[in-house]
Amino acid sequence: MGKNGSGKSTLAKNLRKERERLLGRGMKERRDVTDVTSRLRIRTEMVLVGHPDYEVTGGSVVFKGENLVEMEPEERSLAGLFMSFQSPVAIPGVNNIDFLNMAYNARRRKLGLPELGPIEFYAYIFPKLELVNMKADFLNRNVNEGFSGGERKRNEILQLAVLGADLAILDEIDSGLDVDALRDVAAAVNGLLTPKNSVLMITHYARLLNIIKPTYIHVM
Amino acid sequence: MAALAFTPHIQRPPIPPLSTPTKAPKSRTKTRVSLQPSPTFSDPFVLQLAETLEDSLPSSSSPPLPLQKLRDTSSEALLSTPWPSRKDEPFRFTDTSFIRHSQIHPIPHPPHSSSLSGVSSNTQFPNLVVADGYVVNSVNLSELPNGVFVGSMLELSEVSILKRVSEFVSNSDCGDLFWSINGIGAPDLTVVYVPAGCKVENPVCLRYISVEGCDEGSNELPVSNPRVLVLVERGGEIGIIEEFLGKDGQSRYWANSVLEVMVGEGGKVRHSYIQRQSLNAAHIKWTSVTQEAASTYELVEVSSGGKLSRHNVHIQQLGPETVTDLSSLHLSVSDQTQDLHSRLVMDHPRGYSRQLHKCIVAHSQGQAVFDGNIKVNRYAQQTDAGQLTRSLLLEPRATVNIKPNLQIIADDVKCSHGAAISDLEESQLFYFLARGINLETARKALLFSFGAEVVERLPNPIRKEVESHIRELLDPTLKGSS
Repeated sequence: MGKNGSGKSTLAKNLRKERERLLGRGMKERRDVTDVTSRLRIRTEMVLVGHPDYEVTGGSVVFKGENLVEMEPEERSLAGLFMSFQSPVAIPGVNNIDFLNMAYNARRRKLGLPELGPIEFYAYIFPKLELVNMKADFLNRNVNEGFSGGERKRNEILQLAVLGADLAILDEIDSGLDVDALRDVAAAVNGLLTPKNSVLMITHYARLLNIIKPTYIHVM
Repeated sequence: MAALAFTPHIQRPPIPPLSTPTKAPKSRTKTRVSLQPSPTFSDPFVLQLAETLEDSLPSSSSPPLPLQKLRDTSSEALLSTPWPSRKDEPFRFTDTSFIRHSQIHPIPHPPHSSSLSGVSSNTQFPNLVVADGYVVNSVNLSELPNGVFVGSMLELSEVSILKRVSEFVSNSDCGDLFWSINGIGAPDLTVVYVPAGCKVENPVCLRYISVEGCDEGSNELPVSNPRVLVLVERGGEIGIIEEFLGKDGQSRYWANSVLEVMVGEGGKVRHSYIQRQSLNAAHIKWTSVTQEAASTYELVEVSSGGKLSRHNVHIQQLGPETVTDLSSLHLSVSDQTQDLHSRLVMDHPRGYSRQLHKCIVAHSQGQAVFDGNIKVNRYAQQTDAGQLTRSLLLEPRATVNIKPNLQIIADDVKCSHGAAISDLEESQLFYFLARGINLETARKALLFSFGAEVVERLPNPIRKEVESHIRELLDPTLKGSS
């Protein structure tokens, strides 16, 4: 965490040059982000999760003994890496429960376990809804379609709760949330922490730290 | 108007003798000297086709007056309508040579009942089966409320309904060559009549089955001309489900159908149209609708069959405050052409309309065409019209020709239109990948959800069938893509 201009950009400086080279074909930056450093920091996450806009020309990222840079995005996710998007895209036409079912079954397949049908999956997912304090009708809505900012963030946490991860990177999960939503999200994250997994939270503000007590804080 | 008497025989200006296959040429009436210039161009192919169709009609019984009137108007129109070429704007993107270069012959008799044995009917709802243009079967029609009539006009005995039908048959000012061909060749008129104030709960299903067909290799093309008139009096409501299928999924035939709908004041018609013709068939359909004040017309179309499929929609507003909602999904999963030409004419204030057109072209020789015209004329103030067309091109060299057009003369209106042609959205695909779902599953889900926006508007009995049919169609495609 750190204030604006504190140097978080250093981590992403080389990546920025790479991105501008790729964007030089005339594509415009879609997000009009005035905070230069946070824009650069967003790109780091994009590299970690394997976004096609970024090409890593050197170095490696070792996660549980494997080099993430050489893995496809879906492989990285199945290896146990979860990243919450800051502005998750809407997918009209695909509803939340189908999406989560597909993702969950992909993990089950990887572990060699039988896949869950829609009814069994609903039974599995129902208790998780309470964790993020969302109602059941939320599952029938299309992914992120018509969601407010707070709802989108909570959707990301729900996905984390359903899919599970060894390392969850939560990118500015507190921005744009009101006090109640923030409390729900923080409680959910606390509930998900176990001795076996880790969460890397990135934030500008200290208020989240009052509810989630981090083990380490890296200030940049 | 020139003093030309109308006779069942077409009056032809002198042209070189045609090679009509079997019959001797009819005795021609002498060309009269007319006060208006004779048609400058009569297409001999069209005239020959018209003559063949006329000959195939049963000449013994005299047809009911509306049918006769329809045939006369259509023959007159055919005198001066040439076969469309690529130079005519309405057919600029649509190649009709598939029909033009085939040996077209009419189907003079309804199919034998044994050949219909494999065809199942939906026994839950009122049902009418039209085979090769002839009404052959009906189920559950007695469950319809009093005063509602669904059936062939030849069986219509109620004088009041007949009178209303005569007023409306072929009254519309729209039409092209194929409309007139149907007018001449339709052996019968199916009537769906809803009296004033009557709300029909269950949708009426009309299944059009093309039984007669030729093998892929031949050049023959049997043509059927089913024609339906739906008349909803003031305050009436009804749902219509039209399903077009071929008995054999590969045979060659041409289905040339016309549906006319009159929605009375405050009436409501929910029209679902599913086209699943054989992949070697030609399918041309006209839907002509007139809407009185405060009426509602909804159309949901899913077209996935046919080698050449064209849907012409013409909606005329006859009063203010109408609601018109059109949605269509076109799928070209093999070398097919799916074409929608629609025209909505608004002449009265405060009309509301929305049009959504979606198409998926998944074959390199597949083609989709869309021409959506909305005319907002001078007195159509405070119209709210919106149109959106979205296309997915999934294979290299797949083609989509889109021409959304709004012609606005009124000056106090809210009109919008949008068009997008793309492959699947990368950011959405990436969201799937980032959650561990592989590319193939993601593409399948996104493709299906693209079409789902239209398919979910279909009414319940038919929606599940169509959903599974589309899933089947889209699935084999994905085995080829990465």
